[in-house]
Amino acid sequence: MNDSNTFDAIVIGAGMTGGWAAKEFCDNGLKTLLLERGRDVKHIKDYPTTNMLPWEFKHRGRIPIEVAEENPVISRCYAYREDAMHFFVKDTEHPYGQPKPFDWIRGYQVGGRSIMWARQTQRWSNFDFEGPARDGFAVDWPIRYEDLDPWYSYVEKFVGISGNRDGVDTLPDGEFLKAWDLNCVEQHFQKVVQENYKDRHVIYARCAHITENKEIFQKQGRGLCQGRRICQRGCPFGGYFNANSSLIPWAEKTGNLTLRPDSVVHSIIFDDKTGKASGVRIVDRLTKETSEYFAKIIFVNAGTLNSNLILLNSISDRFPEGLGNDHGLLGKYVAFHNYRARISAEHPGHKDFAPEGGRPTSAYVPRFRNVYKQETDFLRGYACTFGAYRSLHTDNDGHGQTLAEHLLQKKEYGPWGVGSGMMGETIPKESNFVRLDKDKTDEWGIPMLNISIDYDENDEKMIHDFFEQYSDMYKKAGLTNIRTSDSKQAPGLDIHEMGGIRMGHDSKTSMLNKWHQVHSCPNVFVTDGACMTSVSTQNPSLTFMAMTARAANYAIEQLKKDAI
Amino acid sequence: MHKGNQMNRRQAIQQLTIMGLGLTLYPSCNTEKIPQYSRVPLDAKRYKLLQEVSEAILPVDHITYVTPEPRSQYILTILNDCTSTEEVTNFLTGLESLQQYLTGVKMSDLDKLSNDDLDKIFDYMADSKGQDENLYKFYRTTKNLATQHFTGCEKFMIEELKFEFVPGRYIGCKEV
Ligand SMILES: Cc1cc2nc3c(=O)[nH]c(=O)nc-3n(C[C@H](O)[C@H](O)[C@H](O)COP(=O)(O)OP(=O)(O)OC[C@H]3O[C@@H](n4cnc5c(N)ncnc54)[C@H](O)[C@@H]3O)c2cc1C
Ligand code: SF4
Repeated sequence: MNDSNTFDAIVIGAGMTGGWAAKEFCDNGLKTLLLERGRDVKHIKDYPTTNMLPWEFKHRGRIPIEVAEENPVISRCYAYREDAMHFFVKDTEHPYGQPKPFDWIRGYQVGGRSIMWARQTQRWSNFDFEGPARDGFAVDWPIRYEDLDPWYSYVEKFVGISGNRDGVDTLPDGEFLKAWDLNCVEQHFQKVVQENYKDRHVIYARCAHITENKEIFQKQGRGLCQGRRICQRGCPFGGYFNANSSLIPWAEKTGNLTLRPDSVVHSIIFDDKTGKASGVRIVDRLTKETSEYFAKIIFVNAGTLNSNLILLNSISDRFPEGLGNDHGLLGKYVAFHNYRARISAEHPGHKDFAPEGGRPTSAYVPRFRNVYKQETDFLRGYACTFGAYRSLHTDNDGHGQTLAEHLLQKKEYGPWGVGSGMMGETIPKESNFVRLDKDKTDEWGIPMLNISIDYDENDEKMIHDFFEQYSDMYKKAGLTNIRTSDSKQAPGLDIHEMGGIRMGHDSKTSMLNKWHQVHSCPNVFVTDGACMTSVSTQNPSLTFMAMTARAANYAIEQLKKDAI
Repeated sequence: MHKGNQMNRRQAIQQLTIMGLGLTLYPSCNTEKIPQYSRVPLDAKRYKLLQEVSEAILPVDHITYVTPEPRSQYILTILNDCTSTEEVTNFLTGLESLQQYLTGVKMSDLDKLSNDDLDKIFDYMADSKGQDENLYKFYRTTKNLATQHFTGCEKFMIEELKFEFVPGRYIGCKEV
C-alpha cells in the first residue's frame, strides 16, 4: 500500500449509481477512486453523432447486417441503431453463457447505460416495498418508502425530473419540474379511464429532463431540454440526466476524484485479519496488467449482473463461494420486468388535431392489479405506457412521374395511432440465477458469467390479464383496430435486471442489510440493481440512485465515527 | 450547409452541366471506375441500368432536392451493408430479368426513352408478381429505397414532413 493506490473510498463502475456514490463521497471530502472497465466518455466531446441530421447517416439509422448477425443479442435492443451503437457492448466482445436465453444489454464506458437510457423515473411506494411480505415471496424488504422518501427528493432535485403531482397512492409524487402536455388522445384516454375505473389512472410519465431553469442545473452546466428525442446519442444541452453531464464532472470539480477508466475490476480483496475488505484487484483493459487499490469502503456499482459477477469472483479462505456468500444465496433470486406484451389501436376521433414539436416521454398507467388486495389468480401486477401519435402521410403509389407527383402532393395526416407496453413485475426465484462458468474466462482472465433466467406461469397469466384489461379499456375509449402482441422476447431485453445480492433483515436469508452493507463484510456496499429484493413495476433507476445516495451518506457518517 | 451537401450540390451541378452539353456521365462511356460493392457485384452495364432505373422510377430535381450521395450509391450501400443475402440475390436476379426483358423489347437505353415508354416498363415490372417474382422484388426494392432516399433528404423532410431537429416545444393538440 502506498499513497498513490490508497483512497478513502473505491467505487466500482462509473454509471449512474457509481456516479452518485462518487459525487457524495467527493462532496464530503473523501478521496475517491472511481474504477470503470470501459473507455472514458466526456460530456459533449465524446458524443460523435449528437448533432448529426437524419440524412447524414450512411445507413439512415440501420445497423449493418454483418454486425446484426454477429451480435444478435444487442441488435434486439431498440436503441441499438446507427446513431448510438458505439455506446453499446457487442455480443462478440463480451460473451456470456445462456443456459436459458437472456438478452444482456450493456454499455461499458464512463457513464455506463445512463447515456442511452430512456429516462423514465417513477418512485416506488409501500405497495411495492411491502409486496414480498404481504404476498409471501422472496424476503421482506428491510426498508420502507419512508426510508427512501427524502433521498428520492434529494436525487430528483439534482437530476431534474419533469412530472405532475398526480396524488396517486401507488406512485408517490416527487420534486417535479413542469411537465410537457399530454396530447388530446392521451387526455381523452385519461378521461375515459377516470370515468370508468375508480383505481386506474392515466398520468404523465415522469422523466429525467430539465424543463425549468434552476441554479442547481446551471451549476452542472446543463440547460433546458429541447425535445429532440435523440437522447441516446448524448445531449449537447445536458437536457436529460446522464452521469457524464452531471455527477462525474461535479465530483471531479471537488478535486477529490480519481477516475480510472479502462480498469476491469477482477475481485474484491478480503482481509482475514480485519474481517473486512481491504481493496480491489484490477486488470488494465488495454495492457492486461494487474494492480491493486485499497480503501476503507468499497461501493459495488457495476450494474446488476456485473456486480454479482464481481462478488462471485471475490474468493478468499473466508469466502470460498464468493464474498458474503455463506449461504449460497449470491447470484440467486434474480428478477426483471416482463415487457413481452403490447397492445395497439387506432383512434378515429380528434381528426382536426395533431401534436406539434417534440417531447421525450408519453403517458403512464401505474399498477392497478392486486394493489389493495389479492384479486386475481396471479401475484402482483403491471404498469403500462400509453402513447398516442399522429404523423403526416406520404402517398407512395405509382412509379415514375406519378410517384414523384404523389410524394409532393399536399400531405394529409394519417389516423391517430395509440400503443401501450406492459411492464410486469416478476417474482424473484431461487431457480433464476447467475453463476460463474467453471471453465471459460474472458480476455482479462475473469470467469465468464452464465445466466439462467426464465419466465414462469405467473408471468403468462399476467400477460393474459393485461390483454383482457387493456382491450376493455381501449374499447371503452372507442379505439378501433385493437391488436395485441406477445413478442416472446427473452428476459433481459427490458434492461431492468435486478437482484442476486438481495437486501433483507436476516444475514441467513439475504446478502445485504438495510444500509446495503454485505452482512458479513460491512465495508462493502452494493447499491445498484443487484441489491433489489423484489422488482415492482416501475422503471428502477431512480430508486437505485436514491438508494445509493442514502447508503453513501450512511457510509460517510460511519467513516467519520470510525465505525466501519 | 454541411460539407456533405456542399459536395453533392457541386456533383449535381457538374452532372447538369455535362447533360446540358449533350453528354451523359456514365461509367460505361468514360474512364470513371464502377463503385465496388462486395455483396452486390455489378458490371458496367448492370450498374448503368441500375442508375437509370433508380432515377426513372422516381424522377426528381437533384439540384433542389440535394442528397448526401447519388441515389444508386444509396441503394447499393443499403443493399450491400444492411440487406440479407437472400434479398440481395433476389435483387440481382431481378435486375438480370429486367436486362433481358429490355433487350427483348429493344429498349436498352432507359435514358433515351419517353415517359410513356418508361411507364410501360414499370407497369410491366409492377405486374410481374406471380410470374417473375424476382423482377417484382427488384421493382419493390428499388422503388422503396429510391423513395426512402428522396423522402429522407433535407428539403423533403423539412418542407414536406415538417421535420424539426430542435423543436424546443411540444403542443399536444394543434388544430390542423
Ligand atoms: C436503452 C435503455 C433504456 C433504458 N431505459 C430506462 C428507463 O427509462 N428508466 C430506468 O429506470 N432505467 C432504464 N434503463 C436501465 C438503466 O439504464 C439502468 O438501470 C441504469 O443505467 C443502471 O445504472 P448502474 O450505474 O447501476 O449500471 P450501468 O449503467 O450499467 O453502469 C455500470 C458501469 O460499471 C462498469 N463495470 C461493469 N463491470 C465492471 C468491472 N468488472 N470493473 C469496472 N467497471 C465495471 C460498466 O462498464 C458500467 O459503466 C435503460 C437502459 C437502456 C440501455
Ligand atoms: S430530448 Fe432533450 S435531452 Fe434529449 S437530446 Fe433532445 S434536447 Fe437533449
